[in-house]
Amino acid sequence: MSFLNTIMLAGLAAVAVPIIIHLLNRRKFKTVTWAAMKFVKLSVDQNQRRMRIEDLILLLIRCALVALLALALARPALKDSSTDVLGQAKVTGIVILDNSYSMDLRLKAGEGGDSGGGATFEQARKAAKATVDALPSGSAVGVLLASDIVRGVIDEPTYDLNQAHAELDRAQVSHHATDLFPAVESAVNILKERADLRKEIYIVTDGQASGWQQNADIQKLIEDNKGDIDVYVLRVGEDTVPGNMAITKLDVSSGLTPVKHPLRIEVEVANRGKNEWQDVTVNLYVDERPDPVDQVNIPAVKAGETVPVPLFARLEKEGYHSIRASFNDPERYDSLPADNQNRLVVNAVSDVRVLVVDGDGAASDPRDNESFFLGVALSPVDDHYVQVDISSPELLSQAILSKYTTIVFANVERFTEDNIKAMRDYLLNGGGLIFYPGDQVEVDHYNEELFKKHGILPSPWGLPVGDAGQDEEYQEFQKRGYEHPVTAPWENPEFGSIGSARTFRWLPLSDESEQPEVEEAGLPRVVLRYESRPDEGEEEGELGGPAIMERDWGTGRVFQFSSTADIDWSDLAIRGPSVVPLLYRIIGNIQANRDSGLNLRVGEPFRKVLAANEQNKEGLVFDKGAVQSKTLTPETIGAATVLQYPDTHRAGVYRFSIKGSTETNLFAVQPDQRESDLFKIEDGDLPADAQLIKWENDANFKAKVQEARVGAEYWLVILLIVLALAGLETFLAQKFSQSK
Amino acid sequence: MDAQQAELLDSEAISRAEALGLYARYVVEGYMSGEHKSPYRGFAVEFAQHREYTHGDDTRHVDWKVEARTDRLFVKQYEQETNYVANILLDGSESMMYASGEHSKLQYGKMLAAVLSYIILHQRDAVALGIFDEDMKDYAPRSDSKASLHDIMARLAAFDGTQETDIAATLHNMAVQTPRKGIFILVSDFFDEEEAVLESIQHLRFIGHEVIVFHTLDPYELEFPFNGLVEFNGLENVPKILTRPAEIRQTYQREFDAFQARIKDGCEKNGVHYVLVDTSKPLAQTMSNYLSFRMRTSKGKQH
Repeated sequence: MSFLNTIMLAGLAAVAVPIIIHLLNRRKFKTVTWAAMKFVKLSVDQNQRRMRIEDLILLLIRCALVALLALALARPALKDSSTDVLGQAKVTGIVILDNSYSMDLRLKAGEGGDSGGGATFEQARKAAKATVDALPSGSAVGVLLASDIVRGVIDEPTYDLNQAHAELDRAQVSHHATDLFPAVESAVNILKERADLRKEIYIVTDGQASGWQQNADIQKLIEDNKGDIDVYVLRVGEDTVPGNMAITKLDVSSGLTPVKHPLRIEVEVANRGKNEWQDVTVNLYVDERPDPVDQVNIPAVKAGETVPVPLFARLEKEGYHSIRASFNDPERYDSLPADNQNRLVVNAVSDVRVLVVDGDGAASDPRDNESFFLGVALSPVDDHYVQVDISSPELLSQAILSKYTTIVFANVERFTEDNIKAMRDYLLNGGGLIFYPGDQVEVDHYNEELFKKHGILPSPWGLPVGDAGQDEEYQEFQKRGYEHPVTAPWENPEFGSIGSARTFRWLPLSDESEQPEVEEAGLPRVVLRYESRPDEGEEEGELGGPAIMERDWGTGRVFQFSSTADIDWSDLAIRGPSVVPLLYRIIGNIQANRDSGLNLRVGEPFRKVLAANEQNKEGLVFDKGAVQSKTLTPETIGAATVLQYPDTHRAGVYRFSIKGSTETNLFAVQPDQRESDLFKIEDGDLPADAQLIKWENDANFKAKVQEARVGAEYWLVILLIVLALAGLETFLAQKFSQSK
Repeated sequence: MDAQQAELLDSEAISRAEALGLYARYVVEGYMSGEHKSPYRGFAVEFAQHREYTHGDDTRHVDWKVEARTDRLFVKQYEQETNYVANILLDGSESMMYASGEHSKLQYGKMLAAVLSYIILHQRDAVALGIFDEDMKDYAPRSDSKASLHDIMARLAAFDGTQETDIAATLHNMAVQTPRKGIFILVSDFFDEEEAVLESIQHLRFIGHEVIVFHTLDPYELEFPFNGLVEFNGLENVPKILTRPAEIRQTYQREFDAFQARIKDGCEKNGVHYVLVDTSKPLAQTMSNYLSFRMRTSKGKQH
């Protein structure tokens, strides 16, 4: 037995009230001078005992009335009652409705409880509403929409169950992945604040295994609150794992998007089902035009396999373009439409300008210049879309830097304070820097100023290793396990090999250096590693230290090589099939970083940093999927003024414009690919302390939920006793006062 | 007659009584004759002389003691008195002071005594008035003079009850002190030892007195209509009682009715005329009821 309103127990003290009234009443009487005392005495003597007993009975009833009333107000409740004869206790419930996009899976006809094959989400919506309906009257309910984020549409439980219905009606499937832990955690936190007896969490989900990736934590959370909060898992949808083909990746291969050049688009097709699919055709569309610009056919995709395929597009005009890859016949593969296509937005440019700052530019033979091979690799012909300018360190200024997408520092001895300030400003505006070492470089200056003080370099350079004067001892680049987006394409053998380039001398980089405390500096990442030559009989050597590292700095990005840009220390510069795509991908990566706001994962907010002359402008975002537009007002984040749009919960292409401007930008929101994996969690793997209720195409779901709930509050029954006692008191008081 | 005395003589009662006055004497006499073979025997009749028996004399009047001595038959001759003596005894104890309405029982009793005195004196009968509590407090000796009415009134008006009552002792005393047969009119609430009271009435009757009892009660005593919590503060030095009268009303009424019935039965068993007097009723009504009753009963007896 517990009390939900313990403060009311203080009301038990009011038991004294009837006793006091009784005593006071005995002091309030009329006095009558009387002659026939003999008869009064006789009558009193005959009745006194009875009257005392009656008085006592009435007093006891009145005291009991007050005590029980106080008890009822204190809301006593017995949690382990196995009957609901006395009425169910009020519940404060939180309905967690899984709105990840796996819930968009079309059910086979009849499964959705309706004639056609509705979406799992519709079934979940019905289950959630039935759950709300199953709450005892006087209950409060909150509604959380759960994917990998939690949206509390009613995060303060309301007694207005109609509102809960309305919110459930309004709920939509997002294109997020599922992770139920944050939602369960939110629900627990909401309920912990409540003083109610019966607290319940209903997780309405399709049971997708990825949603329970933090099952251990969920389990612990439920266990920790056992006895206080009851958790129910309401499982909807089909038990079987349907086939699911997904386009899990769509990316511009080089990161550079020049106009009138064929763009290689990397597409990944994943088979997330149990069956192999053959003759899979992927189409590529540009700007939502009805005819595909390219098409690729994959003979077979095995179960669980991910196949990367290249597709090509050509953009004719500068500006923003949307690119969409989708299956030729999506209905053939599966009934989860969300991941059967993927979208990308690119900003096509007419040229990409690169400035190479050559620290060793005075050589008589241009081929001895540090910049020579870079210039050849980046801009092999005069009218190439990559324009390379060569400069010397003395000429650097912010005004010059801002014209270029990327600045390459090759074997530059050292930098002045002004140089460094110019670099900082440039990086803050989204620029990209590439540092090459060389024999001119003052390593200590770099390490002290650019690494320690300003945190611009991803790593300090170590002492030189190797001898450039021989060709026996060298290192090669890694040939497998490419993790960085720049080198990721080499994971596909068709893309060629980068591993065969030899490095004879290098300044070692470290990904374990103590990081300087510079606010603008992001964490360093390894782009490419060295790999030792395999021992005899071994196919693969061991992965070694980093050959290239990068880090974000401000809104820009910095790449750092461990060996030279020319062929002094390494032969990479003359290995065209390796160096050209590597440099393009690095510059493309810098460019893409600049445009990173264009392609977002669901839930990632869209941000547009406003230029100095646009500080007070409002923005407008149009969500084509939801057919609605929203005005954005400028916000200050750090030192920048930005327009921010956080509601990117649906995949697709959004339009953005600054009010008053005729230019329209695009950005794409891509669904979370983890959600394509439709494998389900086994019932037995669900948290042991949660009760499982399954939707079995029945109309009795409400009853099922009610049955699962046990326990009762007793205030009503006590109130009934109070009423009965009040009636009895009235009756007895009248009865007793009748003359005898 | 001062104001206090005038109060006692309820003019309406008197006028009503006078209206019935023509019958009053007859009524009284009739009642007597109803009770006895002759209204003159054993009442207001005193022995005068003997005379020789002649034929036709009622043999009951033969003085057998004389015949035994003289062997001759003599009949007793009586001196017949047309006037009788009414001894009005008013209970003046403290319990008679109770009043729920306009008049206390004592007040009502005084008026009753006054009216009776007036009527009786106007019929040229004699009246003696005694007011008693524990013992006789005031006594107006017998008188048939109308002028004595003033004295009676004065005594009644002057009296104020403060003591406990002892009816039995008073009646026994009166029985002893009043050898001449007469009428005793007793006005009391009889809140006393019932058996002793009835015994003393029996004593009066035994001696040969006619007794009329006016059992004078307040309507509240009859009905006990109190509500709420009441403390009863006893007259005649009885301890206080705190109770809720409504809850004991039935018991009270039952006990009180039994008491009243006991008094009435005790009276009637002894040939005492019992009259219940409710002090809430107008005195005239009480009187006319009584007198008309007497008239009815006397008529009934005559036929």
